[in-house]
Amino acid sequence: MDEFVRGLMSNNYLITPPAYFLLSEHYNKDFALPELIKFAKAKGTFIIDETLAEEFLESKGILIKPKHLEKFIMDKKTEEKTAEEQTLEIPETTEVEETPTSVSTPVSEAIEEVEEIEEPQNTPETQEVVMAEVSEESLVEEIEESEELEEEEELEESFEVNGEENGENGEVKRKVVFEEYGVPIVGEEELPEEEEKTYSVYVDFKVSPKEGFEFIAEKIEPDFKVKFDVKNIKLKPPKAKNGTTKEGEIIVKVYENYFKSRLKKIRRILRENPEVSGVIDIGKLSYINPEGDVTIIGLVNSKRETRNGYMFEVEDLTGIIKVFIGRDKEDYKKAFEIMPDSVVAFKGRYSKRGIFFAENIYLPDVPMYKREKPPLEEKVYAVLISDIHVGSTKFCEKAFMKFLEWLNGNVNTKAEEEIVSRIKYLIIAGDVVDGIGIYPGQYNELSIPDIFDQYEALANLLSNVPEHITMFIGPGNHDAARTALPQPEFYKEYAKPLYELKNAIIISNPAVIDLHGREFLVAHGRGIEDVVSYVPNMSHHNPIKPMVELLKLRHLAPTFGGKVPIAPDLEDLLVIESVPDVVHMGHVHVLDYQIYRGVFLLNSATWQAQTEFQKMVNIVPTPAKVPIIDVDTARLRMIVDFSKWCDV
Amino acid sequence: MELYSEEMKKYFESLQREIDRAYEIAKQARAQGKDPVRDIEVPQATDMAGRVESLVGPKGVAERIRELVKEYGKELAALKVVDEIIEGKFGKFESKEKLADQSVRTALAILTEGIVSAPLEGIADVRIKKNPDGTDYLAIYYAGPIRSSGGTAQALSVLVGDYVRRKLGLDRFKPTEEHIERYVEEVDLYHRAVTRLQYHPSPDEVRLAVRNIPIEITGEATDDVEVSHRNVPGVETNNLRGGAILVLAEGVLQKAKKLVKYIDKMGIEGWEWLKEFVEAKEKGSGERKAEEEKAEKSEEKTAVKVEKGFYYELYEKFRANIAPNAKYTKEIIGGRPLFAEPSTNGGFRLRYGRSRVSGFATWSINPAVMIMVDEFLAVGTQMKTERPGKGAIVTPASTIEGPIVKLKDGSVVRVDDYHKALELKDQVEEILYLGDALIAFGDFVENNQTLLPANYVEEWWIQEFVEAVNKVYELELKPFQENEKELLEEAADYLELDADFLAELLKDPIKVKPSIEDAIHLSRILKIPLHPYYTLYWNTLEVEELISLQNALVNAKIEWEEYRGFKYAKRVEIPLSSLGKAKRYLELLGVEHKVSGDLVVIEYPWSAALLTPLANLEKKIEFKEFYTPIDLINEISDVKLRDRGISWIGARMGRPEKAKERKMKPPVHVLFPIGLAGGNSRDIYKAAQEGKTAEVEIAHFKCTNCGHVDIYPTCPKCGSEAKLLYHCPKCGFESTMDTECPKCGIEMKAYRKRKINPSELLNKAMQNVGVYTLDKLKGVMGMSSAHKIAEPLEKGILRAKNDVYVFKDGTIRFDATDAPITHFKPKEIGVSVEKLRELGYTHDFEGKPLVSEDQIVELKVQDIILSKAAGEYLVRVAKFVDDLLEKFYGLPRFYNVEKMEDLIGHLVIGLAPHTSAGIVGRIIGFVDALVGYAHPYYHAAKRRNCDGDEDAVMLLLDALLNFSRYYLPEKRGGKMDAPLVVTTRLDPREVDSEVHNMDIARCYPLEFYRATYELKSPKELVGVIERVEDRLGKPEMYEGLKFTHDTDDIALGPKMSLYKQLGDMEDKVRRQLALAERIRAVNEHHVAETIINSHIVPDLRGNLRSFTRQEFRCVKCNTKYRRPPLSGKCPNCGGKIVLTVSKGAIEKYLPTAKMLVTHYDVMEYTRQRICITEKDIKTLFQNVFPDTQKTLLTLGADICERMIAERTGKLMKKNGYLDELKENGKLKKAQKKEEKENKNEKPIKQEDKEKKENIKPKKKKGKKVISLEEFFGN
Repeated sequence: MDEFVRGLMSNNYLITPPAYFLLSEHYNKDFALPELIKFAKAKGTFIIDETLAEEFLESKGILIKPKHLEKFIMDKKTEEKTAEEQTLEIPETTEVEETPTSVSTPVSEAIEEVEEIEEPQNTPETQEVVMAEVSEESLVEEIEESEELEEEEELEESFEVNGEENGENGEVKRKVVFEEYGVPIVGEEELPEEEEKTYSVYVDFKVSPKEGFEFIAEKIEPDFKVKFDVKNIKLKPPKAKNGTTKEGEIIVKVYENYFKSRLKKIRRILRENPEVSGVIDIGKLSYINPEGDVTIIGLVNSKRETRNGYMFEVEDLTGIIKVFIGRDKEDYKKAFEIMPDSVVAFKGRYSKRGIFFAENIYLPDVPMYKREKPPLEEKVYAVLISDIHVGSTKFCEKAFMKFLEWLNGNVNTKAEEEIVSRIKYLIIAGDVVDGIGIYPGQYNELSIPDIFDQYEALANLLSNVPEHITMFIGPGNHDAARTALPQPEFYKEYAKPLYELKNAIIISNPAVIDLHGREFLVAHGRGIEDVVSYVPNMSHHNPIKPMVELLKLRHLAPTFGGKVPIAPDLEDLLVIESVPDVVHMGHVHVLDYQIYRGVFLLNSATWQAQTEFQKMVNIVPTPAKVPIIDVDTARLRMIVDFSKWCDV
Repeated sequence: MELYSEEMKKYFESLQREIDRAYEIAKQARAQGKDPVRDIEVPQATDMAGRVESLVGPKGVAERIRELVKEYGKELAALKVVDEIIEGKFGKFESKEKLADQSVRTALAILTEGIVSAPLEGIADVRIKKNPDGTDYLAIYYAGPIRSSGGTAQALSVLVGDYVRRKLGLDRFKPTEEHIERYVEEVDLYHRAVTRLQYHPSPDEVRLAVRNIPIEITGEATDDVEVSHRNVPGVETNNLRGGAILVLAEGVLQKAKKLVKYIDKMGIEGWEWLKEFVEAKEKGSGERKAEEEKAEKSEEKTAVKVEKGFYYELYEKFRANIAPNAKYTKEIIGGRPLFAEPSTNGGFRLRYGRSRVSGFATWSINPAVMIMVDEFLAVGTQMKTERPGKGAIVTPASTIEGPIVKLKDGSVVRVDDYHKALELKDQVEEILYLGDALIAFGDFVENNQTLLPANYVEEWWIQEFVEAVNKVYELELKPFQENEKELLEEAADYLELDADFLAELLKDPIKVKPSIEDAIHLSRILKIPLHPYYTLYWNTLEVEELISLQNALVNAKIEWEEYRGFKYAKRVEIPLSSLGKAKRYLELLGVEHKVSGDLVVIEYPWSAALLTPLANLEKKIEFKEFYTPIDLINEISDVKLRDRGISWIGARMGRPEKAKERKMKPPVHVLFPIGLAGGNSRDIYKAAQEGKTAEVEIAHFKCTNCGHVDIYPTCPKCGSEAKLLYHCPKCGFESTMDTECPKCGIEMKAYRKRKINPSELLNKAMQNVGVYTLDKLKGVMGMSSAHKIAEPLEKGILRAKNDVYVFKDGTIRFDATDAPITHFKPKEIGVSVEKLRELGYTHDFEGKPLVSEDQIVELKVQDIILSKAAGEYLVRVAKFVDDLLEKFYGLPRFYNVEKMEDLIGHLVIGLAPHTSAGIVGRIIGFVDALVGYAHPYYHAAKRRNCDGDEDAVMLLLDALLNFSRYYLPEKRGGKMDAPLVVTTRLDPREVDSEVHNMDIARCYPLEFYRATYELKSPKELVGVIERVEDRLGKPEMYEGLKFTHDTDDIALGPKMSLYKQLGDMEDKVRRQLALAERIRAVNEHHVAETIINSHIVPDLRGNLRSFTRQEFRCVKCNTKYRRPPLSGKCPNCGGKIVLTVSKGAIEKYLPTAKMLVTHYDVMEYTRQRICITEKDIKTLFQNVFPDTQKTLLTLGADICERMIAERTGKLMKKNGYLDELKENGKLKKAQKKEEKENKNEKPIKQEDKEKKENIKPKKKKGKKVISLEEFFGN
């Protein structure tokens, strides 16, 4: 396809899309590039447009009639017409005794019958099929949801529906009617019937601020800043050493630099720790006096449990070394927390046998105590949510609507009133829609199997968030966004309605937002999966523990090659460079929170009820629970529970 | 009773003589001590008992098994043997565990006929463990290879385990709740993450089973998939236990019903729960059925007054009872086309019968079909089928109908002839009817598939004819055989037929056809349906269409002729213009006609075939509700019709056929380690040339005489026997006696690292065998066997010289797709009549002396017909064996073959994967097709059916000389696919019982055809059509098998599937869709969508995902890294680091996917999925290759950009070409579609509609439906 265009462009010719469409199918089959160029040259133009293309094809003797004219379609009107025509025609040509009516009736009857069948099929059965299948299909979700390749079987199951859908939507709609064999009648093409959707995208859902409700937040000056956003960081593409450098080589180089950048960044963090002193390059270990304690900082290549302790392989820019920490050591337990590819420091002795015997382990971690931030004059609150999964059959739509109404002042208690009136920010940490093609067989679990409509639906819902509340919306793994971390933003062309929301700011995953001087680290949280699989005693049921581990390692997805896909970027943007006040993640659908060394960590659960897959692996989500954060103290103020409306 | 006829006895004796000859020679050779063992390692076994003893022991058990089986039958005998083992009749065992282990294995071996390797490899361990309450219980550790034993044997092994448990006085297994839940999760996880289970039990079923099964079904980790129920006490692994899951789900639960029978038979207690489970299940479905019946009845009551046509009712019943099965269409792989949608008119037409080369999960089709499907099908190609089974391979049968095609000029032609197909293939526009699929009754029995109404065929007609003659004239003619002359003459007289013709017609009614005049005449006088050859596909039409066709034909110019008092059309001519739509109806009828200019011409005999049922246009067909066209025709016409096209079967291509020598990857000449010294190709010769030394792990032998330690089992210094020298890896203690270090108490190893000098070793070896030049000699990097004993280099040198390759067990194999054959013609297999007589083939299948190469001869059960390619390879293998005998062992040459023909009469061992018992076969000829033809019994003896399996042959002497257990890998499954024992005499009673269902009748009787109209279960007809089962235990089980349909040539058809000749995926997909567009019974949009969803998307997404988690690799030393080393070089060897998943791998299928979503009408969801995937790929590299991104975004003509533009309403308005394109996709087949929708599926559709309407209100849940316009706020 592109070869054709490239060929033209390299000859300084331009082609319009319609012309391309006309010509591309004949290209290299019926004509060669030079012929077309010659022709254009003769016409004295460098733009190949539709007219030129047609002329050219004509000159080549290639039938220009687009293929679709060979077999014709008609709409109902014209069909009836043909039926009529036939009734007229047959008696003329026949010399038999039959009356015209006896012949024509069955024909027109047949047509009517067809129409009857057809209509209901065109209309809303998408959903029926979808829903009927739901209970059958348990799906690979969340944690495993990307294992598509191994899941051929699942795909199989999902297909039946697709196939039928296809057949019906695609083909029953129109029919071919031939006046005579081989000479079909061309009907004026009516505009295709409005495709009626079988699902709602919440256009009619409108909530306005409750009358008489006083929104104090309206009067509070907004004070926010996106301090870190991936899309604002320009990564220079690597320069190929020479023209012949292969793509593969560049990618390896880029990944290499990615880890170098990680080492550099976390090394800096580690060095802020006064206990980490006497740091020496691994390559220089053999020169030093074996008696004294030294510290090394490096990336952990591997970790292996032995009979007497843990053996690590650690790498820095100067070399690789085996590091051993015995069971008897005080810091032995920290070894559990070290994930492959994280950067840590070891203090200990180098033995000439080529092994470093560690006494202490230092994780990058966050400082023991936080500096106090000046209190705010006015209380202001932020609502943290994530994993809305709009479009899923399990999306708690009623609960979410209740939540929106609540934000608009429809509250039950005085206490809630106080809070709602001061809500100024709403942060959404990814998986805002259920997406499409995220896991095999997803089609059957979607109420909106259309990515455009999913975002439209979400935007329609979010348009009811009062204007004085600023929303920050970031992508997750279900969203139409780059699949690998970091995710700069949504694909604009698919998530356009989100970008059009007046009071929304699209952030990357991860991102750091400063609200009134408090730093909120917002990430979707796929790294939690890897912590669960690499660190003992971690589970999806208590996501806060893995989140703390990530914070201790100061990285959102430390391990490469695990469950988290990492993009080939030159710089590691997943390092938690500055210590946040609040860490906000989602992804595992369980509400959980904890304060660790002054940092408030929170997993904001979901708006999706338990899916079949989750049921199977025993993941119990806690949907429709909304944590409210007091920005001033950066602590939880309240959890509002809408789950009673979540009965999907 | 004697089991064999004299002739069979002679045959088996001659085989045994040849076997003994080979063993004699091999024994001499092995005695020289040049191999790991000084004896042949492939023991002979005449029967199951012998195999069991050879495979698992204990010694002396074979004799008892024979006695016990005779007395109690196989299943009970297995338990009795357990009794005796436990009683200590076969020696003492060191522990209860060992005792239990031996009992379970022996019993399972008996139950699996001692063929599969499951008893060896499928059971990893048997242990006695402790319940939480301190009691002992039995645990069986299953491993992956348990799969090979089949569900029933798996389930039985559990039963045996329980029996053993009781015998040993152990308590039952008491699982904790956690433990039970672990099973529940594993079953589900296995089903979705590993492979689909044939039977996927519900969580409650799993719970019930685990709670009640008295032993623990556990196992080792088989897959690298972790569960979330971790560290459950008593479960050693957190990974999936594939073996255990299989036994639980596909064994105990799936085969519960069968198991209950055995429980009763064996009298095992404590399994009442299973009975209840089975009963509950049956009751459940029974109740439902009863309800359905009730519903039906009530319907009937209301409908009782409605008069319905015969076929209308039959169709109704058919649809109500047998639903199309779309399972096989759920996965379509790029390049492997769908040939027909499920049960779709125009697909494969079901024809009951068995050809010489079908049955036993093999379909015969007319070779013309293979041509018309663009040669995607060749002899031996596997198809995934709708029914009766899941798969089948295809073989040619020229006597059944081929496709009916419409040519580009509008003519319609029936193509029953292979050569005609070759001529016409380029002119075909549409394949209206795909042609017959000859499917054996036995396959319906085997799969317990309800019989579909038979389509009207010649073999049915002739029986109706004979029956009518008997009724009308009281003459007993016999179909399918020669009749008495007098009888014939009398009948011919009455019927006004030529007596000779009648004789021929009766003898071969499939090939011999009456003229249309005679056919009509016979129908009129005998009141039998019109001969099927002249019957058209009337019921493909709708009644309305039939009527309008009749009306249109009134304008035709018709030449009439008279014959015996009736009028028939000699020629019909009608202008296209007055035919109108009815042209299509002619095509759908399958009536041959030509189009020249504006004129449609239907010539004799088709003119009569068309007009006679239409009452020569003298009576008008009137529309009647509940009548099909045939019903209406039968009302008005005095020539009655039977439907020739009721039952259609769908299929898609599975695996391509195969016949190829087996090579390991990389190929190996000799099992000798060379490490890295041989470079990437492990070339020992190269290493020797370059004078490299290699450090390898290799077994050490110590001479029993002089004490010299070397790597050969015979001392190179003094020629005495040398013994394996074990040494302790810890303390270095050495011994030729112990295998465990007396000091350290750890296992000692017979191999050690050793520096070897390839050049020295090779020179010596080359001199030994007198080979002085070599091209290359490929060894292995290292050995994976337990002791790492290497093969003598001489063997490799001779293999390299003869260009043959060795398999991991020391044998040389040739693999081929299994195909069944029961009868052959000498000319088909390239063997002379004289030679055949020598081989014992003295008579043809009808008992006439064998004189001509055209006669049909029944194949003897252990004879095989190999592919030409196999012949060529085996000639080289034979030369290698001769060289080996002569130059290495110093014995006379044995085979002395120069050309393929010389191999005829020589013996091979047939051996299938997953099994450990081979069977001796004799080569009697070769065919030019990529299959291995052999008697169905022979395949069954290897535990194969012919649904696309493939397995290997090796020359008998090669296996005897070169096979050693010491070469086998130590890992799990290493003993599979090795000739641990060989069966010398085939006993049909001891082969896979699937073949017992193969039918062996000359024809299927009228009773059968009538039963199909009643949709009977095939079980009701057992006994009506003779099957192998009916002859078991009698000499006839070996001889006198029959078939129903002949074929010209068993190798007629394309030699190789087009699939194997196509290049990249785009090419494959294009060809596949071009075919889909051509076949009337296929919806190409469905195909496109399925390819995307089942093949392309998983590949795309899978690669995209693995790219971002990929490993990195050193090009030089091949070390893998989870991430690239910071130094940018391999820390091991300084080599370059490269990706393991390239960017190209991700993008590879994208153009194909885009092409599909552009040109075909796929779901919007699918289209979006592809477009998003494309975007995912682009953005993945946005920071690495930002420039390429721009070039990818060139055009508005791109499908994704158009979609986005349309949906966001931004870039373009709905411009013309966009809609055009969309329409294009939808319309291509609109015509085809219309027919389908209207005809075949109308009644179903209506039902569907009703169903859907019923569900609708529930689902809609008040969500408002909005329009697109509102949506964008226009």
